[in-house]
Amino acid sequence: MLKVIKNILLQVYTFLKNDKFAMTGAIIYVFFFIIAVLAPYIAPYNPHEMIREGSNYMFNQPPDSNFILGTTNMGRDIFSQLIYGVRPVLMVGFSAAFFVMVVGTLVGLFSGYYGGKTDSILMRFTDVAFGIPFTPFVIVLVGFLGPSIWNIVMAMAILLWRDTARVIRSQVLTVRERSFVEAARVSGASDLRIMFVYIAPNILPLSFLYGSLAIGWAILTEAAVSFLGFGDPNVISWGYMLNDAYVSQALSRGAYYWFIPPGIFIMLAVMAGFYIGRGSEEILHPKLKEY
Amino acid sequence: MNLRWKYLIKRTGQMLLTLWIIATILFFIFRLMPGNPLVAYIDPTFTEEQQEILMKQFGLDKSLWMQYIIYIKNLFQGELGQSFFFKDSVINVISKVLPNTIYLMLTALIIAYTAGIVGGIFLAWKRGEMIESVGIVFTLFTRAAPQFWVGMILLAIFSFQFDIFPSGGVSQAGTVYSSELDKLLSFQFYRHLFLPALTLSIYLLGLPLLLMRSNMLDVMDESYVEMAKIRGVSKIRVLVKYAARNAFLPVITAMAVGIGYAMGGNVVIETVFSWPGLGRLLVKAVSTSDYPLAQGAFILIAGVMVFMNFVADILYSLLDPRVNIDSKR
Amino acid sequence: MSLLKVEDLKVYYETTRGTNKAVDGISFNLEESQSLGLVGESGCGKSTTVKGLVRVMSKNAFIPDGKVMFKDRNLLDLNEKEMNKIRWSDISLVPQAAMDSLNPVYTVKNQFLEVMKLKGEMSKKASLNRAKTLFKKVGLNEELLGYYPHQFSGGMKQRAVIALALALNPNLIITDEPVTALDVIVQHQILKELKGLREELNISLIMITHDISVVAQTCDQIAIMYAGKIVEKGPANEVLKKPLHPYTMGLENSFPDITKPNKKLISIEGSPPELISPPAGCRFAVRCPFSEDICFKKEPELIKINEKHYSACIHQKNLEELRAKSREVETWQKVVS
Repeated sequence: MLKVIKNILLQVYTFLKNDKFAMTGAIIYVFFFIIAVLAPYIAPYNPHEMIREGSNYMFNQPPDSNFILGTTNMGRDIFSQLIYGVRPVLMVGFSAAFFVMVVGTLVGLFSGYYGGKTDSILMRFTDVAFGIPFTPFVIVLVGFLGPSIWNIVMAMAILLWRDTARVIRSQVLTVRERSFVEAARVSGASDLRIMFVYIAPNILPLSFLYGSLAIGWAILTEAAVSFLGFGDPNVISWGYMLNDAYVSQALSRGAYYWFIPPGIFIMLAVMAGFYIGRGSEEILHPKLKEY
Repeated sequence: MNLRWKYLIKRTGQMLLTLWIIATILFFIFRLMPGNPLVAYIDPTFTEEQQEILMKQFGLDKSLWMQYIIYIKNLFQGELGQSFFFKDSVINVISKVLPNTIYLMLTALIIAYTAGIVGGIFLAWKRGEMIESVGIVFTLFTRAAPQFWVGMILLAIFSFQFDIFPSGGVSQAGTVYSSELDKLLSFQFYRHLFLPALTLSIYLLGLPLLLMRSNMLDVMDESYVEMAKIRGVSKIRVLVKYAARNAFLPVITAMAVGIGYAMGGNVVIETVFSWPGLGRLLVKAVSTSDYPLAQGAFILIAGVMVFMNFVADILYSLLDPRVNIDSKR
Repeated sequence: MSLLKVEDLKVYYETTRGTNKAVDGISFNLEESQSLGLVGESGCGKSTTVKGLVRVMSKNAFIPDGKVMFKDRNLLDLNEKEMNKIRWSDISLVPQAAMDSLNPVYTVKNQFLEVMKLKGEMSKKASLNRAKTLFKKVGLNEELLGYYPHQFSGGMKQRAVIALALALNPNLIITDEPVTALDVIVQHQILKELKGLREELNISLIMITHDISVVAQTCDQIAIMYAGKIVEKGPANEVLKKPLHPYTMGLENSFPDITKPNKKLISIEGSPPELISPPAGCRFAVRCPFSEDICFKKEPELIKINEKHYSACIHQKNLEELRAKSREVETWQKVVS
């Protein structure tokens, strides 16, 4: 098992090394991870704190040396919010991607390996998942289940596995025909053993790549859900910041320093996911059938 | 011919099955939600009796199974129930806003697919040049940027800073269009439409553009394109009449899928621009716990998506030359 | 007067592994209303030569050197616009994959009218009449003009493409493996028609093929290409009956001959060298049953052996003996071992 993991990590490493796009994406994530870990040291203020100077609240301060990006209409430091915002965003992105990977890979494996009835039933479910509008679904689910980060992650995980499942399935269909699988079958290995010991290692790199694409979609969706006001009210994410800016009339006041930076950060995080997820290839050569 | 019909029938069956499963999933999501679904509707001052009458009125006194059967039956008849919030039938509420969503969607689709096809041709033409990389990176940005954020920036600049376009809605405060026709003939309406349509088309642009580009590159390798050059057909003409003409059929097919996407993508954009459409209605329904309305709006969006996926598949099979051979003769 | 005079033409490809010298300094001459067969195995540079002549090449290809004199103008000096005037009105092409050379989304008629409109001042009606005449000439029903390419069979498509090549009454037609994809009977018919049309319309022809028996039927002149160079050229009769180069002898053995039904077919063992770093000396030496030490060191030049017959081989004595040996299977088999 350890050997398998080592092997996979090695494959991921060589992939990153050979692909400039993927490398860029990985660097962006490392950068965000460092910010997330060091947030308390980088951020000058508590992001929830309504800052006072003497008895005056510091409402709507434009950027200056004290507040690099100014303050919100409730007197909170925007830069600190931006820094702390990395944490929930990464958490949502990575946990959603993890579920997407696991579910998508399992569905793809079973569907592709067993074929026949199993395949048609699982693929019909995939069709259903493709038929459900993603953002509206997440909104409805989160809206009725209650606004929490985990509900958002769950809602996304329920649908987003669909692309991964289709791709993994078609990959399994080819791997299944290879001679080492035949050899394993002849030597009397059980189906589960063939699937997880012989086939899975060959498709895991692909599910990793699709997982990182899912990071991007998850981050975008979390932002949209938070913007619409269905986000976790206790968690400051970039989407929440944008919602805050929008409802507090930051647009009409021309407070660009408030709503431009979170958007750029979201964009960077999403791009990084695309880049790693062989974004370069999948996105530059979209195949109609994948959509 | 026979094969084609078989495919059509099979695919239609699959579509209906998918729709039925989605409707079922939706039913259980809404019924199994924590709390009484009427909570938002029932005033604390209502008496027990009044509450029971209401439960009966909404059919909630029956068993889950009965409710499900009634629900499916109603769906077949196009009956979506009563909205709690608007105190009107869901059908009525939806049909009032649906035209706005369609206008927004169609405008954005036309802009996005025209620009995407032209842009894709352009990038394929400039293959290997600096401008190609710039174009691709820009396109990737449009796919990675949150749509509502793009909308916010456009609003801040064009509406609040320079006051060129209104900040939201479909009409100026205080004015009401006397009819759909009146609305469509009014200049005001298009001023209101501009920014949301632009935002939505930026969001939709990426797919046709990148699809067109990669199709073009594939087609340019075909020998009939090379032969056209040898026949002395000019570069532009080769690009448009030979490469683009062949590359763009699949993009048109993708447009069907694009309609489904636009329906989903609308939710956020309609909210940013206070555009009274289906997406915004869904958000409002969810935040006021108006579940019949949320359910109706969702079913409609999902239905359009499933149907458009179906249309795309059918178009795709029609355009596939291997299926083409026996039919055209 | 010579219609086309190619002098020391080079066409190279820039690849990631280095420069591929696909065509490396070839010269030949084509008189008006004559026909030339350019023969060699696949990958010897025949098709690249054609693309160089009409200057429609992939982006990584370039012409470092050479002249293509067509009616006393060097085609390599012309700009794209001037070149476009020559293409199809003066030089037309029947491509290798006729199947895929027509735009699938337009009717054949549409593609006919397009070339005529681009070049000629002919009215639409006159153009259509010409298309009909040409279709009849190549043995196709004129109704077929309104069909889409995928509705044609292979042989019909090949005929349609030949008709299209004749559309503007060019001086020169280049055919690239014109009949390779077709079955033998259709091959024979089309070759016969091609020969008839050429004589009737007084058109010059360059025929590119790997099949030496095809040129035997149709061409006056033959040039044999190997690994980017011409190794032998001369009048068809001479080259076929008295080959000077061992490669030509080998090629003749590898195709059936209608006049000698009992002939044994012998193939040349091995494969052509890669052209990014070609071997020193004669490029054929490794596969040649008669090669000597000097063949691997010094590259032989294409020299005049007799009046009109050229060869690039040091073996110019005892030719009859070599020819006799080359007809035996053992001669070629021992090369590989």
